Amino acid sequence: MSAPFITEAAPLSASLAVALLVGVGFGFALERAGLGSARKLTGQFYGRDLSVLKVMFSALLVAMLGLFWLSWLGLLDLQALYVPPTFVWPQLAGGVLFGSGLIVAGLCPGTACVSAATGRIDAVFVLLGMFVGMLVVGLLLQRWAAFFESSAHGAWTLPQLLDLPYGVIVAVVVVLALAAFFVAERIERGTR
Amino acid sequence: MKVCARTALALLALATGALAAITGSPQPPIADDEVTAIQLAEWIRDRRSGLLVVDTRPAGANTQDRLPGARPLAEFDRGAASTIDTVVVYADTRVDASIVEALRQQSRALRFLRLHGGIAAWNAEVLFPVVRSDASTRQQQRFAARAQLSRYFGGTPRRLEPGVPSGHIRSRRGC
Repeated sequence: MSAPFITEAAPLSASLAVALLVGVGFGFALERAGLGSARKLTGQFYGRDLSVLKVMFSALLVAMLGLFWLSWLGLLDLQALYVPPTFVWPQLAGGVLFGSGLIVAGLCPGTACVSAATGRIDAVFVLLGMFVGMLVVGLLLQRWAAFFESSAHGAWTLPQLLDLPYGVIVAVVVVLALAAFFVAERIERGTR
Repeated sequence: MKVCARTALALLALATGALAAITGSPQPPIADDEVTAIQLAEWIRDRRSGLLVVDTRPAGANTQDRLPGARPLAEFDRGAASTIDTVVVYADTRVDASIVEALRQQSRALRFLRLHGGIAAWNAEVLFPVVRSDASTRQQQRFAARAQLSRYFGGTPRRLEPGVPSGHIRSRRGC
């Protein structure tokens, strides 16, 4: 989580300090992009406003290209980055649940924090619901352990899965992102 | 955002993406005076003539993981330089540039190369290479050659079983 800023050996307080700084920066960027508004977020499901897609895909592009070239220049050790493990079925189920929550609430965890910080009451209730959900899942975690640990693939990346060079995957994602931006703009223009 | 700024950003992304595809790997390129662990292993296995490997780690450092046939820096015999033409120097990770420079000054006729990544790379790439159990046939075939090289040097090629549960409930990291 903390790479490339600090190493794994750094004390917890340093990790938390970096996490706080990154979190504040992330929240600021979300707010400036207007993603603290549930109306704006739900707009993507009606094709009115695809800012979420464009903002998130832009962030992904910047991070991906940044990591690739910083590593190539020897300024960043990719091995030091934490790659979350893949659990196909649990993560698919989680994705469906997350998506449903996003449509119903109009906010996701990050944007809910940003929205609540800017004084929106609906976001406070979304956060409350989120904490209740976390509590329930925590209580049921042991009972559902077999499901949570199923279809494990470890740290699984696209270059490994597709057996293609890392750089080719980067180029494909760039083309996909630009195509998505183009289509998103066309959809937005069509609904105005 | 203005159209021209968006176009410029799109072109920048496209250019850096295309360059990434051409570059292939995010790993820093090997310098002219470096050799990879795999390349060095092949040279040693093939008994490449005129090759000398020198361990530049300070005396007293762990010598159990010394590369096959390598000599400590203190025993580097410049008098025997007539029989060798290439000297590969290594350390735990990166060889101190001043050591290489000093050796170059003493034996200008020799070609000095540094082991890219040092002992750490040797261990990871030559002695203990890893392949996922769900790797493709092509990946398995490539690994077979690596495994053969690993066993030649007494290493242990490893097969990672990513589908085996850890036995404890994992904690979430990240968002």
